[in-house]
Amino acid sequence: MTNILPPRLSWDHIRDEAEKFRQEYVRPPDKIPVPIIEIAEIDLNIRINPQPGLRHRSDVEAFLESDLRTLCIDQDLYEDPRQEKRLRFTFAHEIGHLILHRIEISQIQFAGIEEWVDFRIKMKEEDNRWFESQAYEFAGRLLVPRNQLIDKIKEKSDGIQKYRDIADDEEALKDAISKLICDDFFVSAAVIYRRINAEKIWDELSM
Amino acid sequence: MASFGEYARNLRLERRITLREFCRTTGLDPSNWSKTERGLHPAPRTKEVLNSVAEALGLGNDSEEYLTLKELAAVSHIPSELVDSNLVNRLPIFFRTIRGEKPTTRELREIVKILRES
Repeated sequence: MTNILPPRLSWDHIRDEAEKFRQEYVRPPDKIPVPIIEIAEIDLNIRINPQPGLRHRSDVEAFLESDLRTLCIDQDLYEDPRQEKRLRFTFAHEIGHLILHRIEISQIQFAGIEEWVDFRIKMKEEDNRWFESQAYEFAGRLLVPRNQLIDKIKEKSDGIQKYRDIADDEEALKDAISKLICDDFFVSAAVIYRRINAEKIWDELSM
Repeated sequence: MASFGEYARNLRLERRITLREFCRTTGLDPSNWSKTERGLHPAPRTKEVLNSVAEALGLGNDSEEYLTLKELAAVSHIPSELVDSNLVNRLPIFFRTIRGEKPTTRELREIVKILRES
């Protein structure tokens, strides 16, 4: 079989999968930041295969080998402490593929390298986007759980009110809050910003 | 009996030490050590490297684990058939790219080369 279609997964389903994962592997389950690198390698027993020049040579920074046991990752990204937040999200994203797309990945088999190249080139952009956005959503929900996100925003409620007293720019405020709390989750501010929007919690928080 | 790489990896995971942490402590290259653990690169031959591996794993000089590690290093070799046999089964389906687009044919061929080298 050399064609796969993205599964129809609801965001609720992805949230449940992320929650199940946290219950099973994160101790305690509400701990942040989620120690995703340790979990991947030690609890999931994924072999890490750091590759020098992967990004430079192929524009790819990581992929799960289709045996589902090995994570190939750009060595610079893996070793550089300045890229730790991106590295953590990359791990969570690839685990997202493992959890959500295991069946699809396992079903596909290639007779040789040319068949694989042909498969990837012919893969529809839209299908690829679905697979990627599902893994992305899983990673976000795993590393930035909704309840902890709300708690961290509430902790900044005084600052939020002071800002609102002097300015009226909710997007800039969201951006500023994302920068303030991203270290608590050890992800980039951009991830927090997208999580705030994805969870639609901004308007709910009447601060 | 486990290979050197398998045995060393199990000792490391039992102690919940990630590859990155282990390589930072020992000064070993994570790409090469990953290959050693996967049996694609020879075990270290020098006493100094074996000692630093043992130290990072918290193995005493006279411990059974360290003696086993040394014995396995001494008999380790790399079966040549391992080098290319499983390549097709490792080809990835999805990629995390920098520009967020599908890799080109040229980039896909680079990935094959990289996997072959790894």
